[in-house]
Amino acid sequence: MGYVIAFMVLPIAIIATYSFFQRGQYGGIVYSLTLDNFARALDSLYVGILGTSVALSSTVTLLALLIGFPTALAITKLRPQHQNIALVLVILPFWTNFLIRTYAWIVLLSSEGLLNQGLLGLGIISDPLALLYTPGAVVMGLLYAYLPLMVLPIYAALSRIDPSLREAAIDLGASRFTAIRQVVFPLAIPGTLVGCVFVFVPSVGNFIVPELLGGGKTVMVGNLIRDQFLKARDWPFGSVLAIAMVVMLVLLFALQARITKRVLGQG
Amino acid sequence: MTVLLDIHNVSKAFDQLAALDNVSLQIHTNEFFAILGPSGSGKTTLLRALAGFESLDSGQIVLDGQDVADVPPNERPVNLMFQSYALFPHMTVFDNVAYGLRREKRPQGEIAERVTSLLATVGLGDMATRRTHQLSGGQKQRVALARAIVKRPKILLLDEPLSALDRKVREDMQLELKRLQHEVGITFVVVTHDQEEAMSMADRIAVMDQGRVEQVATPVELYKNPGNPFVANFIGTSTLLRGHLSSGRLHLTNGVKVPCSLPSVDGAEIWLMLRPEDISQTPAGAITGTVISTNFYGPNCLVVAECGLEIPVKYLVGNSEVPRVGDATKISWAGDTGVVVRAS
Amino acid sequence: MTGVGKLGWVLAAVCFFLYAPIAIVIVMSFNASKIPFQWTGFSTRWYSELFANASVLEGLRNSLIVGVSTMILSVVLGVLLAIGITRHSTSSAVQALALAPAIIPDLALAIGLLALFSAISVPLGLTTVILSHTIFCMAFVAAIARGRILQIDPALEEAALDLGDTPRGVFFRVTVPSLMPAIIAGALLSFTLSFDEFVITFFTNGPSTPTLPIVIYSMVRFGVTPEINALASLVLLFSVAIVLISQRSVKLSQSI
Repeated sequence: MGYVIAFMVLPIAIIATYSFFQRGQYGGIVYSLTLDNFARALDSLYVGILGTSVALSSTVTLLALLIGFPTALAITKLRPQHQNIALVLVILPFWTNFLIRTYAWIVLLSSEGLLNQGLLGLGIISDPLALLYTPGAVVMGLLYAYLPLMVLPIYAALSRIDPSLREAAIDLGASRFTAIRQVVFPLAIPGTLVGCVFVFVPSVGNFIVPELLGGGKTVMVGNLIRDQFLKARDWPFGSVLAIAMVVMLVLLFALQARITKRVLGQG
Repeated sequence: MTVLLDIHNVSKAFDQLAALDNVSLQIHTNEFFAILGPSGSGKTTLLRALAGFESLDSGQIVLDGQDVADVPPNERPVNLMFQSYALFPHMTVFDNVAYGLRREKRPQGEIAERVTSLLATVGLGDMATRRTHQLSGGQKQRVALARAIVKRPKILLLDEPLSALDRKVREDMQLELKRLQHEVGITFVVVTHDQEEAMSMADRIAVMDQGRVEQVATPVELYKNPGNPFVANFIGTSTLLRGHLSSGRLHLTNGVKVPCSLPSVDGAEIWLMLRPEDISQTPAGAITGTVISTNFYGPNCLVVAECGLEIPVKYLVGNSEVPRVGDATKISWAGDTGVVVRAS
Repeated sequence: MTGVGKLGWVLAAVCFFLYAPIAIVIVMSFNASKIPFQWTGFSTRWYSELFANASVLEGLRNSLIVGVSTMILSVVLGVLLAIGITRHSTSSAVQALALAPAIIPDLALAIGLLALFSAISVPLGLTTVILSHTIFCMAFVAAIARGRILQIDPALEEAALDLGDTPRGVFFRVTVPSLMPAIIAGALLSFTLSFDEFVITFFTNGPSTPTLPIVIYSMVRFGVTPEINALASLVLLFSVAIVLISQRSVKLSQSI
């Protein structure tokens, strides 16, 4: 099984190439080490963009949590035969083309789009709403894309909770609400954290939704990185930004793992 | 009786925990042998080592004169019937049983003949084309057996063969296995934690505990003359009493002295092992006690009584004499019954 | 357990939310009018126009080539990887690293790959796309296969060895067949993932061999048109069909 080990090294090699570029630079011809790019990244403009990305992604994650948790809970309460169907239904959109799903929102939200047409037709508004090309549209687009990823891990965590645990708590005198609060919630936290990470991480790095639904007015770190690599050809700088993003995400993963350990380990 | 398998000073440790500690035993040709012990006794490790799935730290395994320690499992003339049966789910019963023969590159005709006749022998003659998930537990086991036997190995190893079966099926299978072993003439080595199983099926039994062989003997011998307290406690039901022997009388820990004419050293501290049938309930009994529980066994009843000794006493009564829990009782036994067991 | 109750409404609303936009696109694709939002009648003309569109056909061709190649490569590698991390290693760090490509943002993976390819001076084209897709599809296949491996009795392989088979024989006669449902599901899913993949392709592709998602992207940048609706509908239904077929082999809920 030496082959297997070799293949496991591949993804690591890619990540290693990164650090390569982080420290090394090339401006086309000259290879030299410099920290200039790091300094540039700390410029308020870029920090602002990173901040916007984090803010928007956090909003998306929060919304996904508020909607996703009850959804996952609902699925666990279905009859077993129906649970798998419900799961497939929820997860199916995720497996389809991301671009097209985002495009569908353009259809809905543009000023001649269906939502406006409907509202106009019903007489609720007299002028079309500028729904597209707003931060709200970006949030919607990201939420739409990644909601299934919140539902699945929460469902997995909830469905693994032995129902007799809750019943035991009630048998020992807890009220129904207390039983849920003290038994179900703590055990659901690890899965919930995973769901949050699954939504936050791709949201931060996404550039399609901000571009198509945000119209360039809402710039996220993903767009920035894309531009550096493909338009400005400033790979080193782009790499620094990418590293910043990856580091932030690694910290997130670590935080999530820590909290999970705390909850399960001392539980 | 020729020695077929000679296990010689075998040791194996996992992370400094000795799974096998200087194990030696010999298994004869055509024997139905059992390796009996509680979990953690090393019996499974020994089985896997015989099959070739565990390496040894030291010692030898000599099969029919050949040292097989370095022989990989697919080349040993030993076959294993797995506890989970490990039937191949994507193959029919026939293909499962034929698997080993096909690897030997036997001609098609011979394979077909051997497989069908063996399936008939184990009572699955008409199941050849079934898929394994369509079978009951007992049927799956027969397929697993047939699959291992058809290759005519020198030794057939069976890992807890009856543990997954219902009681009634288990009893039938015990007889089946004995019959099969005689019919096919292969040496069977069964590994089990169930002493009743081992006692009813095996010609000889090796009792293991914590990686060591405690005693190797026939079932009757183990029952009547256990070599140490562990074996005495593990095999059958018994009451083990500590006492001090002096001039033909045994001084028990509750102060009572009972006659004891068993051969032993005068003045010695001994363990006396009494089987439930050795002790009787009688109004003239020298030992008094209180009944703690009664357990019905069909023809008779096992009574457990607290008599002020280091453990409660277990004895048998007929169904017409069963006392009630809480009753006072008197018991005694003859001076020449029981077995002196050396403390280990 | 009490039934779904009021929570059922949440579930229904979420399903509506997830499928409504898709449904609208599909419905609109049959709109006879050239102006998107005015319904003038039912027509399939946009579909027929699609098949005459050269760039769409080229994109489709490239996507199929990439998809099938990725499917084959990632199944082979993914299964080997799964066996490696499930049976031969107990380190959870190794497991996390092996499955990492499925979790890290595609953007990060994309530029990492771009950097790698240029560092070793490989020209960008369909080959680099296939390699890139394989790396991340392989992780998905490994995740699915791993779920299946954990369900299989490990004694099966020992039994086959005991009966006289060689380790290689055991692999092909016992291991692979018992993994077949996971292999099929993995193949179908990696084809779908590859077919729909945009971000990584965007970075690692050469300019002259666009895949279908890239063609769609360039169309979408110009706004909503009926052709896009038709193309979008087809691609959506195609993906859905593949995922549903793969469900017959492996339940998605088992590979979490």
